[in-house]
Amino acid sequence: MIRNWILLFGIVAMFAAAMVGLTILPKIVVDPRVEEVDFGNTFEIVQGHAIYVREGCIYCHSMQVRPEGFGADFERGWGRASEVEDYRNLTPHLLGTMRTGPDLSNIGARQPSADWHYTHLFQPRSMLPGSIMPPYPWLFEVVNEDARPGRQGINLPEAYRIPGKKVLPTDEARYLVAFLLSLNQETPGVD
Amino acid sequence: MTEDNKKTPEFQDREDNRSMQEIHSAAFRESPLPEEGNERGPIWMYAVIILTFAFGFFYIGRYLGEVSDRAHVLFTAPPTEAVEEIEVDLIAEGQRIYGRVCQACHQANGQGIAGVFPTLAGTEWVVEQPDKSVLMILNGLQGELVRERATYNGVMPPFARQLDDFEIAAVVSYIRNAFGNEGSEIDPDRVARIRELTADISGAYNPQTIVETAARIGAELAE
Amino acid sequence: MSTTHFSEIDSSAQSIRFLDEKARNVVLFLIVSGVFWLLFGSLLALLASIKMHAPDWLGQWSFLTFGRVRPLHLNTMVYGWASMTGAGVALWLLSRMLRVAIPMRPYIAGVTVIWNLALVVGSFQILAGYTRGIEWLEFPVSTMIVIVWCILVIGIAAMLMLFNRNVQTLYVSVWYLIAAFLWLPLLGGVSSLPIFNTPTVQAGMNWWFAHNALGLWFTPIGLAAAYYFIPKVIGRPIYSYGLSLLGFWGLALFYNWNGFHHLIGSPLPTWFITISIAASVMMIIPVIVVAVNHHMTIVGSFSAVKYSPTLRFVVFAAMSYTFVSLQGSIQALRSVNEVIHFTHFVVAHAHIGMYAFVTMMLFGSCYYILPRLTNWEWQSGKLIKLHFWLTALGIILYTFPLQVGGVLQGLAMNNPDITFSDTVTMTIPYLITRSVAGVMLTAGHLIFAYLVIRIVARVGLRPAVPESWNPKLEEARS
Repeated sequence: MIRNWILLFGIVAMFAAAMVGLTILPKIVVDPRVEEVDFGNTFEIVQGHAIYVREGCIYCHSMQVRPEGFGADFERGWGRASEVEDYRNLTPHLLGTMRTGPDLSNIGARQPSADWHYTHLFQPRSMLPGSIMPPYPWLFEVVNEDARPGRQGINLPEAYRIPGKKVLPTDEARYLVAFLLSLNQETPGVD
Repeated sequence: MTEDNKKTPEFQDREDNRSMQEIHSAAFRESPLPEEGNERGPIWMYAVIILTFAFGFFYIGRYLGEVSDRAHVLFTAPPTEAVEEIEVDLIAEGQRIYGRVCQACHQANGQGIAGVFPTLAGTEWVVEQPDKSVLMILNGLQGELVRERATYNGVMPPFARQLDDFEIAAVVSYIRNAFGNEGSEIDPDRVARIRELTADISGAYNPQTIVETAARIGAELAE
Repeated sequence: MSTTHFSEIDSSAQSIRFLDEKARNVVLFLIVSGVFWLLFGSLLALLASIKMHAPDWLGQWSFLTFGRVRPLHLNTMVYGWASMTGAGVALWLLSRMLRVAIPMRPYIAGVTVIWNLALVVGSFQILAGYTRGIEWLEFPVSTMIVIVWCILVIGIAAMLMLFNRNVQTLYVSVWYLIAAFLWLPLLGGVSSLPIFNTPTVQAGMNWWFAHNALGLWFTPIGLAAAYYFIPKVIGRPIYSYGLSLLGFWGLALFYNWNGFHHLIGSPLPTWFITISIAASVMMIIPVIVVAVNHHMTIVGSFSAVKYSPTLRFVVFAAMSYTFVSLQGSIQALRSVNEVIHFTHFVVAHAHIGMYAFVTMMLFGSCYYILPRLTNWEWQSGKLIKLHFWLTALGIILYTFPLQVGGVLQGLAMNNPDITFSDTVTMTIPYLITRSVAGVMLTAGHLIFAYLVIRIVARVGLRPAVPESWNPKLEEARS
């Protein structure tokens, strides 16, 4: 029986050591840096973050800029190396591991045009012909040209216009774009 | 183990009807699991183990950096000897900036998208009046813009915070010499002057105010 | 033979038969459930793969968008196919090696039902957008806790077997399986704790979990199967007990620490990442030891691969394990990671691990276990061969071009003179190749599912000469 216990103890001890080392210690080290910071997260940003998570943007877009000299993140204009304060304390985390699309850490500064984002989300290929990003038409509603007077439809190139209709972003699209525009490495509250 | 002693009816049933040999053919055709041997393994394997250990400790020693909350330690190469500012090709630099900043809207060929993003090829505000390009890049532009081929009603965002004078000069120089355009290079000092003269302007221009502002600073720059 | 009291059975074959009889229902239930999730996961994989190069295909439906189909593919394959079938194989192996009938059988059957339900609920949740949003942990915490609890119950059965065993020594496979059944519930429990509430710390936990789910759950099950089936089928002893010991404790010591190599260049404190890289390199030790141990066991009996479907899959899987682990150690180095991080290379690497190693090992195990549980024979040797070649060539066609494409993509991404959109378009031929490979793999899975249904339902005539048993195997063994 003693053999069993040596085996079980060894197995659990090895696990516990790594668990402390790679989950508890980072928490102790990192948490104090972001606990007290006020990131000024508005309702729109928080909702937009949730939609970003829901649509699985993380599977193609990373949100971590590597330091200058390691990869070409800096030279591509994606911003300075990311720091733990950059993430507005919104969980789940969105660091990501794929760059099928470009890094979005600083997209709010790199592409500050909300119009561009709306059109791009509705049909990415209308903005970038070679893009393989999925379209997100369910974040928009297509209404008759004369419906909702006062609200202008999103700017669509000729080829993607629907005759007699206009495309309006829903609240979800507005939140998502608000979140994207908040991704700015110069955001107040972030060093 | 009492539960295990009980035979399920199904088990009993088949036992009654068929010979053990037949039912258990699958099990009978197995050979028992042999006891493990106790060889030592080849020498090279031990060499690999020792080398791996050595490398692991070397790696930790080399790259651990510091035990702190800092990220990116030892990633950035230490600053090399101050390199003399080499003659930089404005247009080549501008092309790079265009690719990462402008291309998403104005497209790689500078043609824009009809009715959404204006073209840069042969455009008056790029070729003949580059100051307007600089103004637009600094503060952005919005409002209805009527052009020969289409009417635009979009928003060009400001880039004053994102691009410095040199970068703006480079990108304007590039668009003046690409897409079939031909024009002079823009001096970064001129961009700096324009930035200075329009420092009091906040918010985007519209097609009227940009013309007025261009006229005003044109006069001041000429002095 | 009127009584079959376990203690009265001396003959090895008879006691084995008794154990199999007891194991039959629960193990079959787990394996068949796993095969269902394999088919479902394959469908999702095809959808996700094709959407990568045809982004507008089925693009109007939110629940079929890439960002939802891809995580569900991963979760059904990991927590459905590989975990369920793996748990079934593990229970059967433990029962055989510890010479004790699987205990708590009604409970295991019960949790398998609950596990399946949790997967169904979780699938709807992810497709409807209720995701937890953490890679490898997309099921909402409540659903994930149910799955972990199911594995915990099966793990308790495994512990009971350990303490009630009828053999003196513990075979090497037992260590791995016991460890797996301890590690997964611990991992699942820790990862569900609500203490990781700052983004970067959560990212650390994320990759610590994700890498360990492979390293501390699937790898031990896969290696346990290899350690069992290789000597069992070829009839030669494992080369060295000492090396087995070294391999096991090396894995337990180093694998735990690997996770942060997914975060090189991220804003986490550098020293954690450095430790992870070093531990990833150290993984060479247990991997080389296990590889030598397996190779020296099988060397000289390679021709047996021709006659035993089990051995064929198991050997392919064991070789893949050595390859993928060594590749992983190299990938962790900063200079290599600089290129391949964020590219399709890593996706291909993950598939060598989860498919060419884990899944192929489970296929091999099923080919051995199912005839013994059902007292039936596999329908067709030809179909088994077809299954092997479709999946083996399929996974090679999947991973090799995609890794080449991933390296080219990474090199292009690190060259700022190449526009980003060019780094996307250049990968498309490799993504199309992947879809083709995916069709091959899915065809293989359909064949496998057909064979499993036939043998479990005991359809058709029982072959006079067992198809999966070739007399030539005897000769090949010697």
